[in-house]
Amino acid sequence: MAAPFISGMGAVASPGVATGEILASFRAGISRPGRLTLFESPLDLPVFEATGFAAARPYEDGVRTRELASCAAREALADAAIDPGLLARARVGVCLGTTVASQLNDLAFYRSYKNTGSASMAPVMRYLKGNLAEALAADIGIRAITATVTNACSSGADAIALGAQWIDAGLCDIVLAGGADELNRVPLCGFHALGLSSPLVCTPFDKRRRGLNLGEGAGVVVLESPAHALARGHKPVLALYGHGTACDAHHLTAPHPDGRGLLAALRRSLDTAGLHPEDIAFVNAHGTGTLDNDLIEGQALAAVFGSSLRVLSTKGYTGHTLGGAGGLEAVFTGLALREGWLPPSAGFSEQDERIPITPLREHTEIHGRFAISTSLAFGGNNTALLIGLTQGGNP
Amino acid sequence: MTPFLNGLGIIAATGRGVDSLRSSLQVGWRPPATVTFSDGRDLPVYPLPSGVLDDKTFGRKVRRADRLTKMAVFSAADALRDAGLPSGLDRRRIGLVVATAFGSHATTFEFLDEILTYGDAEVSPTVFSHSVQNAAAAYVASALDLQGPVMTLTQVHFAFHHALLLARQWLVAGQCDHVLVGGGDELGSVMQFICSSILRTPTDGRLRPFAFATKDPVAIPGEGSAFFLLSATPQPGAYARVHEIGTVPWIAPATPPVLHLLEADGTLADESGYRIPAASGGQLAACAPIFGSLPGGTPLHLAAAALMLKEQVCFATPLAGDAADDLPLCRTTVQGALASVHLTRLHCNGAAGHIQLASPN
Repeated sequence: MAAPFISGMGAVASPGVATGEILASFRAGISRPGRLTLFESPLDLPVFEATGFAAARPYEDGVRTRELASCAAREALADAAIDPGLLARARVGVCLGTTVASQLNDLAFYRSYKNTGSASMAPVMRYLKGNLAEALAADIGIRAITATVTNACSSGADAIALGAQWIDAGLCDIVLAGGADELNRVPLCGFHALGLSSPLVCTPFDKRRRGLNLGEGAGVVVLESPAHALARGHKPVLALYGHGTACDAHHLTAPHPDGRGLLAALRRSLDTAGLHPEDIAFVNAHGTGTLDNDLIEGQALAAVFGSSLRVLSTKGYTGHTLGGAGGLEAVFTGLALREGWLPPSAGFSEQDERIPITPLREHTEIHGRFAISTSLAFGGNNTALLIGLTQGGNP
Repeated sequence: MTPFLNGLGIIAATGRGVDSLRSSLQVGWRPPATVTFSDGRDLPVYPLPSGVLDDKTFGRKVRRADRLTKMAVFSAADALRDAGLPSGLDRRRIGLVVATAFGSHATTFEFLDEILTYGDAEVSPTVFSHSVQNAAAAYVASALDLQGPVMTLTQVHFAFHHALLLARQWLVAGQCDHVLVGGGDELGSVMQFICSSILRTPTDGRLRPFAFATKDPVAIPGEGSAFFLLSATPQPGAYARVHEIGTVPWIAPATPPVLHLLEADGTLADESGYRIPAASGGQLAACAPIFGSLPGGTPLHLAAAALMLKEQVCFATPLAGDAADDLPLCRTTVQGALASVHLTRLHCNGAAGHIQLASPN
């Protein structure tokens, strides 16, 4: 089966609105953590808001996620040179991952129900009509197969893998795939309660790391069957050569101590691409900045690729965008391959001797053809996406 | 590839297991339970029978699990056991796909209650982690030691259809030898309130899914979960083969089915679109009156379809006695010669989810 092309990419997050702004932030080494402004909470934690993103409506639960997804998707479609007419003629899928937008998290609704036994159904109807993948298809004005993946923090990556499988199965010519999540009070409280939030700016893989910072954003890719792309004369630079997913089957919130699921996911991604560890130019790691994630992930990456692996985490630029992370980081991986350089792993300075990999400390040129983006999640989900440069537009 | 449904597990208002499902289909319509709200309003509901989740088989592994998660773990475990697979399976090659319309909403509301009651800094980490939408899948994977790919899809309409498509694709791609695929939804107290506010519910407790011509209330909320073990090869006692899966505007099946099982359950404002598949020939039947109304109820209906195929019997549609229906539904149980069943569920946007099962032989 020919690898599906990545015909276009779009992203919005703290570093910028659209991939051009994000690359400029990466090149300048700019990271913009700040105080929470989107909603009120007594928790004084650094967050990564997409401050440059001008939402169409005031903050409402789930709606901002939809707007972030729409922003990234429109950039991805433009990047792929796909117009509405082409979408109308193609078999299209929309496959998005999220956490916040999949739940009825409306505190005002629940407060009213709790205090009075009654509540307005407006938030419920907004939720019922706001399923992320269906809503994006409606926003773009297309009839599409739609699926919303809710695999916690690997949702965005899993959505891309699912989209690729729709193309493999011949269901779709084009799939908009990725992830999106807004900053929301529910996960802010939840991650703090779990002791996973850092009171300081996050420092993925660093010895002094104290946890994650929440962020928000969306990353969307246009996956396209090679036959469809070639028929319209489009020669994409990137393709999704492999993907692997495996479950730890261990614990709801803690990774398997041996990284069992991540090791299996990495090996499967290499197998499906027909590649070997030495073919991988770099890994864009999940790297949240939590004690357990970074330890287990670092050990698993070293076990597969060796300790000299070029690796970074981009969470120091974006915060942890939960369901958006896998989509964003797939886009960042593709951009790095296309541009031929990697930014430093923001926040990393001091080596943790228990972690046998060393994230990049400076801007680094890369020359390889393939790279992997990893995502780890609550529930023991582990996903690896293997992205590569095409050979002159051939998969 | 037309994969095989080798095992089935179900927990619903019908009870737990295949025997309870068969018994309910034989008995037919039973009156719903009633929930009374603080303002005196009543809501008819089809909840799980009491005690059906009191299973200590998994001990501490599901001690903290919520209602939806227990439903998923027990029905998935039943499906795996029902398939009768040999011991010593490679657990790395068993996948899991869970579909849900609303997920663990009761736990989500419990967490919102924590925020309002205790404040942002004092909420329960356990409640938060269990409110994450893939908690049920995580518990199933852990309890059954499933180390293959695991996916949760959340969508009011057609989540299960996409789950089944993905499960088949994992088998086609050689990624898995078997996939547990299923889904379900719970009916917590806040959801009961929501249902009472947005659904048209009957005052006499009688579900009339096919009374298109009348404006009478038609929906009675239910809850439940069903899982299937899907494999590339059949096990002795396989239920069915999965011939078609799709979510498109309704099209006639490539092979006309012997029986159309229509999922009309009153959750759409206008369900007269079910007349279209009904007009394509074959017998017509429905099961909503024994499960209640669930937008994500397709796994329950598929369980009934699979049982009918395996046992070669078309159960009479469990209608309330006086239901004035607009379709010529199967009114008596008929034994034998059931080669295929086509399951149809409509979306309010006009799309149709369809699954066609065929006899495994």
